[in-house]
Amino acid sequence: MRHVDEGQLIKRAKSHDARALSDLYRRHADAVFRYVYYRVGDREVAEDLVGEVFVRALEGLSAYQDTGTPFEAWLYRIAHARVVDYYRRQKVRRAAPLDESLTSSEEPDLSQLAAQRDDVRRVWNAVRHLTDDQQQVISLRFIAGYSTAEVARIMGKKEGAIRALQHRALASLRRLLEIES
Amino acid sequence: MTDTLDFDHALSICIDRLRADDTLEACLVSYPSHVQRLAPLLRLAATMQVSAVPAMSADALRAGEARLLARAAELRSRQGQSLPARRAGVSRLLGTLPRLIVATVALILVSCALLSAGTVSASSASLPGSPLYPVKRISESLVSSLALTPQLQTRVHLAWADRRLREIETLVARDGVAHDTLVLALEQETQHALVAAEQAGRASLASAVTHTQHQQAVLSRLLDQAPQAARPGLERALAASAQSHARARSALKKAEGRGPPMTPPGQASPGPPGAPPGQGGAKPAHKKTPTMEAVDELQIPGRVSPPDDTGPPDHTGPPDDIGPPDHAGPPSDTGPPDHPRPPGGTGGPPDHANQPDDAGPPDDKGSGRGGGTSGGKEK
Repeated sequence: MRHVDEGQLIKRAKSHDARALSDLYRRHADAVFRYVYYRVGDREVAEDLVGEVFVRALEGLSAYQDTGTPFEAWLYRIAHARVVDYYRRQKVRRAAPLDESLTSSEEPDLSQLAAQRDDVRRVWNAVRHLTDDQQQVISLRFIAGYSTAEVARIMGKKEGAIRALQHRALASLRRLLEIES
Repeated sequence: MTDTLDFDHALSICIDRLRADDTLEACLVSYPSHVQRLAPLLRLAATMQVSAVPAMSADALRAGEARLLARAAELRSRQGQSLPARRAGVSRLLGTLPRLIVATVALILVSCALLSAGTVSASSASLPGSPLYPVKRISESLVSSLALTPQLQTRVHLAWADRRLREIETLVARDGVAHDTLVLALEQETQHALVAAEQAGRASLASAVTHTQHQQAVLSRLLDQAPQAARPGLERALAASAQSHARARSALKKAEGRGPPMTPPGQASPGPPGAPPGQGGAKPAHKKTPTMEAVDELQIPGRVSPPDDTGPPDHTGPPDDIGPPDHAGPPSDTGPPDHPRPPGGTGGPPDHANQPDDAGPPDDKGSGRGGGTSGGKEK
């Protein structure tokens, strides 16, 4: 149902219908933000890149065709390109630690929860030392929640290659975390 | 037997099972021959599944949306301008109509259209839901399409934005709701006006600043009195208007920085040498254009009527009191709009955003199809 509605929205958005564009933006902005945020580790940069992603999407929307891959996956691809471009502009891949928003919480200050959040932060900081492909697989699997088949379609690779990438990414992460600790 | 699966496959399945709330132990039991290698990686995967979900701030969300809508308005405007460009091309080919005449004809057409829009006042006072409302919107579209210069476009779209504002005001008072379609139409018309004003120059930008300031005053006042049901729409309209206002102010500031000094109010200026006709030329003294400072002086909370005709129509006046624009703007201003940032304009290679879907992932170094690091090539 959502897919059908989204198809209509995309159709209208192609003619730059403001309402449709707003709806699409509001549906997907947070998901794109999470994807970008975990990759760049800076809230402001991520928010700015999200704006850029949607402007690029608008500019390329006329060429978009619904081939069964979720629209959000198309946005992730644009987001990935923006992140890579961001790092290219920075010249060096800086591994900025994720800002405090990931660890701060309005929930009760339970030490176990805090430790758990700290672990999450450490892991995601380490993710940014992986290769671009590994980062993309990890982001699409763990942030966007796609299956390996879906990730394969998004990245234009075979499912087996995605599984291998995922394995190598987790193995590299483990090594990185071991070195760190 | 599941244990015959290769390790990568088993790992993938276990990650999916963890996401579906299965336990790590249950996964390991399913693949006894892989336990030693699976266990540490799955523990890591489980840590990553812990949901720590940051969300965009409300301000950033609105800013991104405004940016998107502004770009959409820009693209619409460029599409709309291809028609006048063709007309101009034809006139050049014929070699018979100087551009000034084209502009004069445009002025007459727009004036006639506006006049007739005024005479068909039965529709102009209509509200959404009324059978005459579509007539009103169609007549607006017609007038908009006849506005050939950025100056005219600014005036026309600001006038329509003002109509939407009045409609919102009326419906909030009558029904206690702020219709989404009207709120969006207000944003859209304001964005159209801004895009045109950025091409038109300081006078139009100053007008946009004043109008958006006025919008905020009216919306703030409405918000103070509105019932709960109308508040989300009004808040959104107010936020969008604030964004537009900031954009207009910033553009005006830039325009003032690079242009010749503004003509002091009430004083005609011969205009700078080489200035296009109609911009700073022998303009009637009453068409004073507020500078940023003058605009600041206009920012009186709750102010309803602007002090001169560069501001929005007076809300206490008759509805839809848009008069014919008093100048068609210089023909030279019908040139191409400022070029927006091209796709890929950040200096990197073009990405696939502008290519058909599934044309492959962005072709960036070390990633994407054909990129250096594919799944099968990694060490």
